[in-house]
Amino acid sequence: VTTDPLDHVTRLLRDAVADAGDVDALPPSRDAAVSRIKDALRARATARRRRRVVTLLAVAAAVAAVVGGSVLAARRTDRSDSSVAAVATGHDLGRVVVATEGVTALRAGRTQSLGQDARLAEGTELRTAGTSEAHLDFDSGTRVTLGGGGRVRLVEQSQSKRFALEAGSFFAKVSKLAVDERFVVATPDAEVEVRGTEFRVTIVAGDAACAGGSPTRLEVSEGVVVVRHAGSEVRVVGGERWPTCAPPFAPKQVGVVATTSGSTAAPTERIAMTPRRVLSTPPASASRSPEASSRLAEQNDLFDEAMRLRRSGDLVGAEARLDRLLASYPTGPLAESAAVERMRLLAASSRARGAGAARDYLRHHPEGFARAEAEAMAAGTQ
Amino acid sequence: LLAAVRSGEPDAAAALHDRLRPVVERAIRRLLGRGDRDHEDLAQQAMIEIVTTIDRFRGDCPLDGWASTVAAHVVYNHIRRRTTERRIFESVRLDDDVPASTRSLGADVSARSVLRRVLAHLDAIDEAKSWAYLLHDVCGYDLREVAEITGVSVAAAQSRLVRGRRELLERLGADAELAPMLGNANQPGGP
Repeated sequence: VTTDPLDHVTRLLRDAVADAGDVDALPPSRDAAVSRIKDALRARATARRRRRVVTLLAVAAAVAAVVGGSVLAARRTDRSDSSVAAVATGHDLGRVVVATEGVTALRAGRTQSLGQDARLAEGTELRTAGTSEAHLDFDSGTRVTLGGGGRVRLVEQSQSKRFALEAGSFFAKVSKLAVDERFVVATPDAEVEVRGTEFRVTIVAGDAACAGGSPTRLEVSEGVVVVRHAGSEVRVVGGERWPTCAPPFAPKQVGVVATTSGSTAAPTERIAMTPRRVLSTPPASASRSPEASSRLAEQNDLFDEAMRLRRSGDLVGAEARLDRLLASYPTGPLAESAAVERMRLLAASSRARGAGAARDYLRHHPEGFARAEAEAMAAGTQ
Repeated sequence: LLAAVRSGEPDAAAALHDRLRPVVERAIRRLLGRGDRDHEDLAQQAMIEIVTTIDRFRGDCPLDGWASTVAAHVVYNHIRRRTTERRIFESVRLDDDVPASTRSLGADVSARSVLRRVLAHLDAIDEAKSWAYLLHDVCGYDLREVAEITGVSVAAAQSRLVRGRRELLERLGADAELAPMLGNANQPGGP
């Protein structure tokens, strides 16, 4: 019993549909119904098998794609490793800008021809045949040329650039290096380290009478190069060569490259370098040994320091360095220059002392390049 | 049985039919009555629908309830496709053999008159709302099942149900001829 008409009619409707009759009795069309259900089940089984096949194919395709992609990636990596020899390390890697016929790169035991703009990764060995050349550019502006018959290994190509020159001629024009950067070229018996300079290192047939038979020859065009050899370290400034006992390359000989085996390559203009100034060859007794090179470095240091002190206004200190240089190396290659600078230094503070220094200079260097200046100073006219 | 149906074994057809045919029958008869001309087709169609959609049955409700919902869905779609006759409860409208339980009203003729006027009101209101009312309140499907049968969300089914009830109640209250028939029941304290 309810007072809600909606409830009332709902109950009426519910009662009307409640008597569904005998639903448990099997209908006369049972066989037909079962037959249709069988068809539906068969269709379901077929669809199920089809889905399974499609799934298997999809999985197989996915596996094939993954495997194929891995193989392609591996091949691509291998190709880039072997032929281009380029590895993205984030460091400034040398880029091949010129590679004539016969230039090859050896990496991971494989020798491959180099293409234009290929970047050489650490560990690559660069080889040039008899008349070929390879030019490398670095983003920093540094340029390297390996002459014919050359063989150089890029030992380290990070902030430190280290090359191992095993044969031939290696020319480098190195941009100014940052504090944490280095540029080193190692030869079989020496190590050349530069700090923003232009130089050439060549492996030649060693001369037993020169630098203990060292096959390394260095010519510096600009800047300062440090040579470490036989336990000593020598600074070679622009215009100098090392060892000093080795004959300088005459202009017509510049670019003639000799390999460690002694074979001679054809002249080349690309690696030609004309030193702007070559110091006069010191006495043989003082220059034909590593010790002589070491003394030359000390003379350079004393002279450089004296000039630096003079520029900073420390005249006493500058005079002391020059006096020490002249006392220690009275016949050294910097003796005349040191005497002239001492003369000028003393004259600036005392005319009498300047005149005395001028007379000393004229006594030791009667035909020196500053003779006229010294004579005037000695006469008290300057 | 479910595993056999899921794997598509034809031998499971008879067992599946005999197990679920009564459920399907009951669902169809509640919505269409016993004498509908499409009854057999709908029953077989519902059985096939059960086979094809068996993967949706996850066991979170009784199998009978799920089969009944599938059958109701088949009937729902079938009636919506009917062009000449799309009415539900045709047997109630046409069958002179009024269910015995309605005789408690006191007069068979009076009972049939009440039902026919109520069904006329249901026909007059929005079809979606009347279906929601009939499936939920009359046939006993819960809201989730009503949503599945009619193909809408549970929230939409609930909204339709509430509005269907309200519209039907308004129509019943406005029907001057129906009021005397429901008079006893409408009187406070009446039977």
